[in-house]
Amino acid sequence: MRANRILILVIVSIIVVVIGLILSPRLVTHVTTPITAMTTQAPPTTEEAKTEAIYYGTINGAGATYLNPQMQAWASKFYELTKGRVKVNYQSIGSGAGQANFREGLIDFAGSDPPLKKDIYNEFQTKGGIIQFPVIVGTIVVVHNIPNVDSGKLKLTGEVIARIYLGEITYWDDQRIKELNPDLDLPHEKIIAIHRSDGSGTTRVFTAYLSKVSKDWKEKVGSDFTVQWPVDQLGNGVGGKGNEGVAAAVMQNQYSIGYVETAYAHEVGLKTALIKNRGGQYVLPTEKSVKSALTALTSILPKADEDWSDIFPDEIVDPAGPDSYPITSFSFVILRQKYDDPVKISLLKEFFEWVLTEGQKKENIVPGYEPLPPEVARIGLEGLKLLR
Amino acid sequence: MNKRKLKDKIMLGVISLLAIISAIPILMIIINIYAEGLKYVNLSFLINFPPPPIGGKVGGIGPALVGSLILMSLALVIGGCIGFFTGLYLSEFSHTRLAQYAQLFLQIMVEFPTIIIGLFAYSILVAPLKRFNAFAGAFALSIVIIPYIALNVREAYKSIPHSLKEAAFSLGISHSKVYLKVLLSTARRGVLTALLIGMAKAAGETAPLLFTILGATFLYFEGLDQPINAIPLLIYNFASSPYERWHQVAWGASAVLLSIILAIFIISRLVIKEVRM
Repeated sequence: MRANRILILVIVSIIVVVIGLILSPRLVTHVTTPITAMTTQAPPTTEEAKTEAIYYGTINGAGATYLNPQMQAWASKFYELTKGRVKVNYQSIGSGAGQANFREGLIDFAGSDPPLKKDIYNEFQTKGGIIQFPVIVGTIVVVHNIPNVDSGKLKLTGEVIARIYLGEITYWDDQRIKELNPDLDLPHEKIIAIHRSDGSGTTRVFTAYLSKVSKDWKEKVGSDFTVQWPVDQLGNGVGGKGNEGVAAAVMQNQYSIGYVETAYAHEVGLKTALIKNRGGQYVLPTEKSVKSALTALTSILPKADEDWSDIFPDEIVDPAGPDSYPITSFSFVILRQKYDDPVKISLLKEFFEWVLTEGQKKENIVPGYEPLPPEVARIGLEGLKLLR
Repeated sequence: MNKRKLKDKIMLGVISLLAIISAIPILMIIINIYAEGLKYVNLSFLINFPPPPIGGKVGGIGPALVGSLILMSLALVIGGCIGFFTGLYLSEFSHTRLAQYAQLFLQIMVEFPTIIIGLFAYSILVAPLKRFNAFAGAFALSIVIIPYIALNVREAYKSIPHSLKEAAFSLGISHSKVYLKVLLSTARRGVLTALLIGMAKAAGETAPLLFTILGATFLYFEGLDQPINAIPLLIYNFASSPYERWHQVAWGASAVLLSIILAIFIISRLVIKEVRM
């Protein structure tokens, strides 16, 4: 019996020691942070000396689901171009998770639909700073499933879309929709309003647009990653998880309306609606309408090391310009300004410089995405110079 | 008399029908996955990198397959060792209080949501080390499979006739020899089945990997402290994308994963048969 007890005691103490050892890196990293922060001061000289040297390795990133197809296309192309020297490993885990992992220092870069939130930005300002810049244009389309109405025929205004999601317009043959579409035969059917059920950058941008064009929406609902949808309380709203969930719900429900990122609508073949812009024109996200929107925006965009949370997305939706597509937005890449490993710095610089120049050429852009105009790409190129 | 026989027949018929119905979903799943996925599977599909969504080459699931095999074997080494000895202890020292508590905990662990085990691995192996890593994934998987292995090993040792144990001990050889040489050869089909079940479990789990291994697109294996991919994770990511080509890769990957798991189960059946003869 005694021998047994001693045995148990020994086993328990071994377990305690093992768990202690496993947990100890946490303590060690806390203690060593100031030291590593100091050593990062040194590398620049060696790095400058080695600019001619050829680096190889892997950079790990994660984040926005929306960015994923385009990022994989870039990573795949860059892998070929560098003959396997630079491996970009991007995993789509969502903007929120990407930002959280980036904050924890688990990944080298984050992909995100919205830029960093203000509090995280401020936190990083005390820890060496970050840079964040747009890498691709993202547009959101309003999609519908009215059997006898073709894609690109239904005309809507921001005000009407807001009233549908507020639950005030409940039938497709409502006078306010008919007025916009005198030549369409709209059915007397209930509108099923589909929206995202998960927290999403898409919802944030879409509701920012609705807030900007509808005072009622701004007062009653507002803009966030998730909101309380008034239409749900009437029983006419349906939530879908992710762009794919919304797309599937729109396809399954006749007489529904929804909002998805353009690349999804493009791939799945959903019917898109024209939206009235500030200039009074009805537009779809085309190369021309997106370009016009971006030209109107260029002057208000901050620098890569500045806080973007004030202007994004509230200031950039519904831009001026006669041809502008109103729900035009960006996807961002977020980097730290300081990395311990000089190789990582060179690889990150090399890859993102390529993304912002060659990567924006038509042959490297996945259909449904729009490239950045050179003025906007310059924000990132300038920002990359801050990497140390 | 006749009425009772008729009732008996009807009842038996209904129950047999229900038994057949319960097997239908499995058959449907297998048929469906092979019908959709098998056409994409070939040698290059097993080796190549995943494709970009549009353009470029057709691609494959190389990194995910390599990653899954590494994670499975590592989880089996860790979970197998711990699970085997735990099971042995539970069977041979079942009268001790520790064994009783251990068994209770293992029975709870079987029912544990695996996503929580993933979070646990994240908090002790990912967050402190400041990187997603293959080892954290293998660690989480091994925790998932330990209770399955331990409880099955326990059953295997329990099923050994008491007279055989007595005979072995009466030889006067050490405990370790009795358990690992004499009795293991009798219990080996049960122990092997336990390990194979653990392996199949490790191959198919997604949730413990979500927070631990990150995933990998253009790399197979760069060390246990680096990200890695796994087939279930790849299916999860690609199936929810809008791109036809990624759906095809997800179907093909499902067929591969199903084949791995079916192969493990067929082997475990064969093992049992062989020993019986």
